[in-house]
Amino acid sequence: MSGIRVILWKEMVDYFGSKRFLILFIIICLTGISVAYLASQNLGSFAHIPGEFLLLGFFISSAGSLPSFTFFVSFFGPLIGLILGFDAISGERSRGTISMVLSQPVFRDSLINGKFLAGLATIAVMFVSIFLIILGLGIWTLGFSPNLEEISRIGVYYLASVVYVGFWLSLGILFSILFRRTSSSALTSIMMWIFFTFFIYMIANVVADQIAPVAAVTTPEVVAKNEAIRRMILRISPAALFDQIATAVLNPSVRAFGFINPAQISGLLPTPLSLGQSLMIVWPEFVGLVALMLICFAVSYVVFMRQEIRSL
Amino acid sequence: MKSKKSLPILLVLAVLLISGFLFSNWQGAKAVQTERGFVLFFKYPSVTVARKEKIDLDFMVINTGKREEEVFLSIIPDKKAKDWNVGFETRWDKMQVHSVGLLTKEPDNSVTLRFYAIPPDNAKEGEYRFVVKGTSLDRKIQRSASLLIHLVQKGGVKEEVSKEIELTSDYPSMENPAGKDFKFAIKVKNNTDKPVVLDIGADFPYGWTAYCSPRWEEEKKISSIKVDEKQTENLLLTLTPPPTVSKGEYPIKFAVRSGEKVVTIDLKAIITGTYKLKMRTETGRLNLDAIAGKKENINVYLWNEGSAPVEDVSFFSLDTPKGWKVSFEPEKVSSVSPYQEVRKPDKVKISILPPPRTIPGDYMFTVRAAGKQDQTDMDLRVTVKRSTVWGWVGIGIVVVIIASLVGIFVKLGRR
Repeated sequence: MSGIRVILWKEMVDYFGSKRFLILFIIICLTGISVAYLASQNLGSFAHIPGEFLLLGFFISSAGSLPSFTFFVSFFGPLIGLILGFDAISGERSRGTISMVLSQPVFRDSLINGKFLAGLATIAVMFVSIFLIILGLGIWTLGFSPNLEEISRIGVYYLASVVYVGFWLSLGILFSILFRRTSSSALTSIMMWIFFTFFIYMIANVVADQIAPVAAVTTPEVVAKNEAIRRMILRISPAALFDQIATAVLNPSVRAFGFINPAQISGLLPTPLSLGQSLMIVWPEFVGLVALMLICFAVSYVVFMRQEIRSL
Repeated sequence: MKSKKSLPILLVLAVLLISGFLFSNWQGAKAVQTERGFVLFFKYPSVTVARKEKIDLDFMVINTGKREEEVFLSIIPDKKAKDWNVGFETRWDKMQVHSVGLLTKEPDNSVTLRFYAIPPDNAKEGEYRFVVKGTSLDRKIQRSASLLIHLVQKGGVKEEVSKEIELTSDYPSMENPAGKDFKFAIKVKNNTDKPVVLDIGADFPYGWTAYCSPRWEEEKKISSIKVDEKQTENLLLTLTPPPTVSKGEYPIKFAVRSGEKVVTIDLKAIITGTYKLKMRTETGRLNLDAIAGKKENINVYLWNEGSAPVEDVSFFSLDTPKGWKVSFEPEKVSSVSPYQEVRKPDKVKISILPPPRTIPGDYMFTVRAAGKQDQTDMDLRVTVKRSTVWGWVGIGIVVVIIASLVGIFVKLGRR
């Protein structure tokens, strides 16, 4: 295990020291803070948020043309993970340092475990700092400290963000193992990012409209079917999963996704849900995200362990 | 020629002028004469009375002139009525009156006297005539008024006339549920030709409270009333039964007293009993947690705060969300007796079953217990939660993945 720790520290030093990471981190940090700050300047958009959850507004409110913080995380978060992971192994290979490292008394699994954990730790530290800055900005603007419910909801959201970006990190590591050249690994990663965060929504809409076209005059059944197909397709995208988790966790009044029959909500009072119940709504998505991250890592682990190093 | 023709015209004119002047003078003299005058009259110049009763009649003297007058009054009975004891007296303090003084301005220009006539014991039935003469002090003006008394045997007169005070009520019997006041409207009629002052009293069951007020001024509580002659006063008797009053009929006696005479009227208050169903959960909480697809029970107490049993009480739920099943055990209670009699409430178990695919959140519906006589509502709020089964399934999946990851570590590690 000492091998993992050495690799972990070494990798983290590399990550935090690398210029491209610093630039990316500053960009994302500034964007997140400015979004939250603009939201705080536009407190009128908080009107629909119940009083006891006002601080959550800094994460979900959008100011003017700028999207909300959650959108930035779900759209640009993958980029952080991919940048941290895409050259984890292929970079070492192209620099020819991998055989040097492995000739040291370090096990091969320590290398990949250490790289993954270092990436995850970097992501965790980065998000802690961004979240704390936003929270501080929120407390400064609103003038009261967060309550336990807000803190725990933000905590769960934080956890989900780290897992989400962690998935993209493990995907990047997988590509860095699969492709020998760093540039092809990077290109594939970017392709996956654009596909899952951008194209998948278009494809889902097109497919759903092909199978169950919604005409101007239509029945609720058709609308429900269209929505169900769309959501089914979106489910393969980690970005869509994360969007749902963020919506349910940060908005206590969200109690279901998709098409709801009005009869189902007869007698329902518009009261906020407890965190446990909010989490129960998106529990499948949460489990799916964690599973995706772990499976992706497991696959890259297996592939890396079976690779012939010396031939490289 | 001209002057000769005009002479007779002038003469005629002069005559007309002089005669006009004289005439106007004469008119003036006459006005001076009519400035004095008075009238005498009986309010009821012809009456029928029973024998052996004192007859009292109003008699008025009014000054119609422009000078103060003093009028001497004398009564001249006809031959048959020589033995009658007649005279005038003041209305209130019964002084004998021989002459009246009249001023010119109201209200002192008129005097109302009481003419009294007491027939002798042996007076026969028949008509008796009296003439009243009024003479001014200087004997220049004389006026007179006549009165005809028709004397009959006692009992020949109508019964009502002999009754001096009469009490009547349009609704002498009233029905009310317990807790409501009874209000009896009572008319007091004074058949005499004197105003009377009456003391008011009532006889009612123990524990009740009562007060009397003028009919249209309920906030005034009165204990006596003055009824003018031949007038009717409207009274309102308000009775408040005690809150614990039981069903039944309660007799009430309302009485007025004037001196020795007491007049009563019997009234009846009927209490029909009250019905007040009350419902409460065992713990007092009106909310409960439920899991979608699982039955949740809540115990409810039902009792009757009224005074009479509520019959045929059944339970049902209103505004129930779609697909929910709300059942009651027992479904019906044949009778809920008043709590103060049985001293224990009825226990009802409510089972609530939200459908399996309920969207989590708070739902509200109304539970109603409705009997023949009364009903009561209770709002229940149910917080539906997701079954935690799927939560554990998810955790299981993650555990399986981690376990297989560990398996891979063990199998492939340490190369």
